[in-house]
Amino acid sequence: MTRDFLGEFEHLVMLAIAREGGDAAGARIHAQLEQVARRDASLPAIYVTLARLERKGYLRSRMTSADAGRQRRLFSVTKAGAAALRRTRDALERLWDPASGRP
Amino acid sequence: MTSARGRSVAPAAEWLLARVLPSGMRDQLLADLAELAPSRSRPRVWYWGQLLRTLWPPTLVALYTESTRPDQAWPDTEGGNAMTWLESLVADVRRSGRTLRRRPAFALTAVATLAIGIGATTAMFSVTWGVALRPLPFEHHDRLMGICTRADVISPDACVLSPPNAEDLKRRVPGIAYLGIGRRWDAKLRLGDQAEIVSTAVLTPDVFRALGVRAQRGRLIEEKDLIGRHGVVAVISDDFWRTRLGAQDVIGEPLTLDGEPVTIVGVLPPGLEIPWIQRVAVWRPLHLNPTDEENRGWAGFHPFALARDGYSPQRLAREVASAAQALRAEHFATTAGWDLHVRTLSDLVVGRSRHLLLVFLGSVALLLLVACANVANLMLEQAIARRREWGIRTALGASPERIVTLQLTESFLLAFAGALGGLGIAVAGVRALKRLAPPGLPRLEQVSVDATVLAFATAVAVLTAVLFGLWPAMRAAAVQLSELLRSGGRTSTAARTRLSSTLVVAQIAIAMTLVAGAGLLARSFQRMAAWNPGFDPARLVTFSVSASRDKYPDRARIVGLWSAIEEQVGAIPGVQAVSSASAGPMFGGGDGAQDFTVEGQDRARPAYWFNVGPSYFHTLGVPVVQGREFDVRDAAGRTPVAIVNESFARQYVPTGDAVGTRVLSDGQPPLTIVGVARDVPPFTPGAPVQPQLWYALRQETRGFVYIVARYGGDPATLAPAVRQALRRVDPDLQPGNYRTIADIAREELRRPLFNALLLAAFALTALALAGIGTYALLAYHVRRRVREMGIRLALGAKPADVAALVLRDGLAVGLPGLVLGVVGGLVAGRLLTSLAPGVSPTDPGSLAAAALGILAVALLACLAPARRAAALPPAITLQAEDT
Repeated sequence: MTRDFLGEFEHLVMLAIAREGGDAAGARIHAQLEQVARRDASLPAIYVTLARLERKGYLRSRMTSADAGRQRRLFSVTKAGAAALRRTRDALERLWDPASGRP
Repeated sequence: MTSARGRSVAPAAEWLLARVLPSGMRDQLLADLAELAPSRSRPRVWYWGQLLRTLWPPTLVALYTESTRPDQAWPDTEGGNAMTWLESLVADVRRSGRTLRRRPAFALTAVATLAIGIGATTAMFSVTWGVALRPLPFEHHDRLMGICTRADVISPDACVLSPPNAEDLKRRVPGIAYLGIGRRWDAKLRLGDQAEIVSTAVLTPDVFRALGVRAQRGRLIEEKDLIGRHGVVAVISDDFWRTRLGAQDVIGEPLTLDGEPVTIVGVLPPGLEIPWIQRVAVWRPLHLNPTDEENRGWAGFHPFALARDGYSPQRLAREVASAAQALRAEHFATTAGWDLHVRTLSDLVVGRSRHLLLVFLGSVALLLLVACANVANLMLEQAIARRREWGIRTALGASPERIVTLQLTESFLLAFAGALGGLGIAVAGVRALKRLAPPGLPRLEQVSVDATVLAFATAVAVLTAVLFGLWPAMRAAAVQLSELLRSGGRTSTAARTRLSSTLVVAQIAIAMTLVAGAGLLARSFQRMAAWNPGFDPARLVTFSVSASRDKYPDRARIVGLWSAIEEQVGAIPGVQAVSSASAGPMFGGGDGAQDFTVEGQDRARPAYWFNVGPSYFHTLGVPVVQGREFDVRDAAGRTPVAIVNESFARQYVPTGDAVGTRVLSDGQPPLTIVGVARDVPPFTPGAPVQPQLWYALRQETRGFVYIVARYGGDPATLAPAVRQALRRVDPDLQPGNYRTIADIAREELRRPLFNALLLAAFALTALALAGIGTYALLAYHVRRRVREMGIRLALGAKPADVAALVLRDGLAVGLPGLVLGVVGGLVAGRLLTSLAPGVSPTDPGSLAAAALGILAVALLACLAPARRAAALPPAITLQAEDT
């Protein structure tokens, strides 16, 4: 588990999963990015990011059988992932706020 | 499968993706794509877009990097997914990388050794490709030919033709589309107030046509410009146009050349380099009537021929041969060995450089073999050390092919790492070679590490990986666990030792071959540097002077000019003697050879001819052994006279008294020999002295000569006085090419020195690698026989006896290597004959020196292991297990 800030695309992917209420499949994540964030992402890029985030401990995944017995991998945000999201959001908000303290 | 009807929207794309995606992500990605595609406005286009984005290399690499990580969250055997070949390869590469990281000493040594071998080979290939193998940069380069005159005195390296012969060939040979001739003809250019000698050339219009050159601006030289004297038009080079004329619109503008105004009619394209006539600023039409029979024997121009479409060099050669037969019968019946040969222009341009470069490429390939042998031995040692690992893998089900694949992956990884390092060495090497190489290597400026060279480097890397990796890989695959357990870990290493020893013998033999070759070149250079012409070249200064036509339109005035210059220069304090000459030892253009018939004989004999002023031989310091020098008596209107050298007199006037003999030459009044000069040994050691004949410059004058002066002081201090002296004669006169003959000789030495040093560099590197290989082998022998040595010591052997065992092992590889190396050295001598003039190919001195060098290195390599063996305490050795 790391205490880093999220990269730009990692941030978007995590938020997309969070918006799904947890347990999101790749297709749903893609749809969130495309329709809400208006970000044209390729599925392979999303998968690379998902694998990396899970390795960092910010996501967990599980296999579940969907229709016709085909298994789907679903992703949800872990506690560490939620903390990383908050950390990154706070940092961004501080930088966006013109009233926040100058260095 | 995506659409509602269960069929994929893009079956081909799906099929491709299924083969490319890593197994851990494949099913999920395909399922997601199937889910998303139908909702697109153009599903198939969108699907193919996703495929293309997957194939984007950074994305593909990231996919595989994530999916093959050891801590990957999605196990790849989930659901029974078989690894794709790509996945398997990536996993193998990662595994090999980990294995190599655990053995950094071995990995670094192997990579460094390979980098040296691959880097040197790539650098040499880069130069060889750029200079010798790449096609000429002209349209129809494969049909460009040179039609070269052959005669006993014409150097086989030269390709020259006389203007009337060129005209006749154009008419008589149907296979010739264009045939032009040209040569350098320096002239004095006046730009504003500045006067200087520029490089100019004269040619016929067909030269540009044959080469497919088109003017960048204006037009090129045409037939109408050939008017029998220096034409009044000129075409300039792009470089001259940009640097001296400011890239202005100069078409129709005048230039003053040799006092004559010429009109610029065209600018040549940038980067044009015409073979033999490079770095020329101004091109003018041929200044003489090409059909004038007086010039029939003047083979002083370079030919450029374009064969017709469909004509091979052989077919053209046949047609030229029959035309040559007719010409010989008509004009050259008495000229010894006269003929015409056809060669491709590419061969002629590259000339001897191709042989030289291929020799170097071969040498560096040998160096690469030595490097591969070293790495192979290293890998063999590793394979033995890891045989437990291989045995266990085999017992667990790994097939021999799998083990070979694993080992070869390591080899490839090492080879490519070596190639990357080697590329860095190659780039630096090419840069160094370009800077240090002497003049004379054609097209060297255009050499670079380009795509062809990179492809070559990759191929070399693959080859070396297979070369040094295959045998150890097969050895690893052959290990059986049961055999290991039975023998308690002591497997037979006899085969390994034999192979290792063979590799070291090969290394020593190759190193010896290279050292012997380098020795030959070094001895040849030494002989060249010891050139003794019979006079002191450091005291002789030469410079060129040109008589402009407007001021000196006739012979009398030109002769007056040379006399005045000699007088003024002779008056400079410290100048001991001065004369003038068209060419001499190491200086001047030289006009080649002409046929002369000694009166009373029926056979014409060739001799090199020159024009020289009074006291020429006295100025040089060359004694006139019979008769006299030219002097003021030998003026225009008097009996034409000549001086010949001893070789001419010996070969052509066997009666012994050449003085007084008359010599005839086509179309010229007979010459009376008045003196015989001592032969001057040519600069090339071992080359014969050619017959030479000198005309009196006062009788046969020229508009461009070299002044030769013997000076008692430092030649550099003479230059300002010379300029002043010339200005006193004529304010417009400028000395050109001001140098001492010693300077010129030093310039000539650059090429043989460079060749010797380069080969020596390869040889020393190979020697060092061979030494390291020998040391490693002997160190291994000591480790392997530690127990045996312990027993000997315990039984009363002295440490020196044990050390002698090691030395004997060293000799066991050193001597066979030496013997093979001597054979190699003899072969190398044959290949280097043309590059090492003056030295016999079987020069015993070089071979002996090389052998001593090899023995010294071998002994040095034995030293440390022998000392270690002698210092072993018996107790330790007896405890040790054989490895």
